[in-house]
Amino acid sequence: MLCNFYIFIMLKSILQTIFYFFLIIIVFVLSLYSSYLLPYPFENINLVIIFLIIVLGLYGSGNIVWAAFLFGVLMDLYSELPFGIFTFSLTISFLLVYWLYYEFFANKSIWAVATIAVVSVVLFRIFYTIFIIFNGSKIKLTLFTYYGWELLFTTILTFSLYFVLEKIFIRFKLLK
Amino acid sequence: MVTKSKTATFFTIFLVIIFVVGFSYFHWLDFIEKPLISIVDWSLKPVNSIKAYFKKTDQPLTTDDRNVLNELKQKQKNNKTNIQILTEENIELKKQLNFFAKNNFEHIGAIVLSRTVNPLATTIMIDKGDKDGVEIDNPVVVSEGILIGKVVKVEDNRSAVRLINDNTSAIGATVMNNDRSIGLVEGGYGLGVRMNYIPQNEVVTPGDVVISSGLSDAIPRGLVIGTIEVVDKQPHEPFQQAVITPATDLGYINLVSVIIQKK
Repeated sequence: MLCNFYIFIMLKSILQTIFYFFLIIIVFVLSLYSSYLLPYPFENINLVIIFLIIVLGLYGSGNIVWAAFLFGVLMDLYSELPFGIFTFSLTISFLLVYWLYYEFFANKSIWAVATIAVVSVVLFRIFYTIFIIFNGSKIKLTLFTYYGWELLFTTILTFSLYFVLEKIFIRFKLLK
Repeated sequence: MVTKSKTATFFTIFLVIIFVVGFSYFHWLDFIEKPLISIVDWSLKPVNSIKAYFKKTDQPLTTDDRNVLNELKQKQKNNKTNIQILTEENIELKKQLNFFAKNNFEHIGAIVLSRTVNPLATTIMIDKGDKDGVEIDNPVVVSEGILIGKVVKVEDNRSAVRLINDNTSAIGATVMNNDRSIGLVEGGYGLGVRMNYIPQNEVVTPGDVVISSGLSDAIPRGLVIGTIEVVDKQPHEPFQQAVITPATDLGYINLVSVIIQKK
């Protein structure tokens, strides 16, 4: 009986991992679609960060760092830049964001989520910019226009989606 | 995670990243990367059809056109988009064949898979790579020899192409004016294309055609880049600049040809 219980727990865990893995791939594909199909400046919406922040806001799990790691690997596979730039920037940013969230913003309020959305985009782009400078890329002022659009739209969308999703999750008792 | 030492967590994650980057560099993770790429590439297949659909609906139509279109939509509801895409591809391929028939370039046809994930770079992924003979710096053209960019990263079965409107793109160019002015065509984060370093004493006028000069590595002379739209000439500066309208819509590219080195 106990053995069956452990097998059930293990199977559940494996199925959950597979589910999260494919969910990450789906979100990544959607982010590629949005950057390709949406017109300027909406193409700068960062769906990956929106997804990670909302999941962090709803569940507050440290697994978000490993999800960020997998997103980073996928982004590196579809980037013209040397492998590792996105993996490092995204993972380290979300490790710092998770600590920040856990220490200061764990009340799950919508303002806390909006604040960590801003912090995560800023941290991610700081690491990214440092790496592309080391890679020998020229930095022009127009780059910061793109950063600005990304920050604005990502924060607004995170705020709005979290506002709606939190209500749905509470209504259907999906939050632990 | 937070209850453990933060330093230990940080270094653990840092080491994992270093290992993954190192393993990827030596192609030891190909058995994971290739299935992942196949899944994502498969998911991206409809992207060009969707783009084509929206491009079509952007065009202004008269009332008669709308009526005819509605009738056609009813009759050909299922295959309309496919026919449109095939027709466009046919026209594009004919143009490319026509160009290569006139010029003695060795080339490979390729399909655009997607733009790369980085919205700050204007690059696209194509479905031909090292195994097909594509090399870094190979020029990429569409239609009848319109230069759209060059290859910047090559993998076994796919490559990344940096478009001419990318911030880091710089291509030697010639203006087809009386002076045959030379300069450098540079992009700016997808916001436009400029030609810099045009000598101040030479006459450049809007409408002049800009072609590749042949002075950049691996890019032959004569590939069309665009036309001069605005000239920015300041008397106190040694060079003049010009804004260029690319000869093709760089946001809507489905089929390309990569000009490769003859062996």
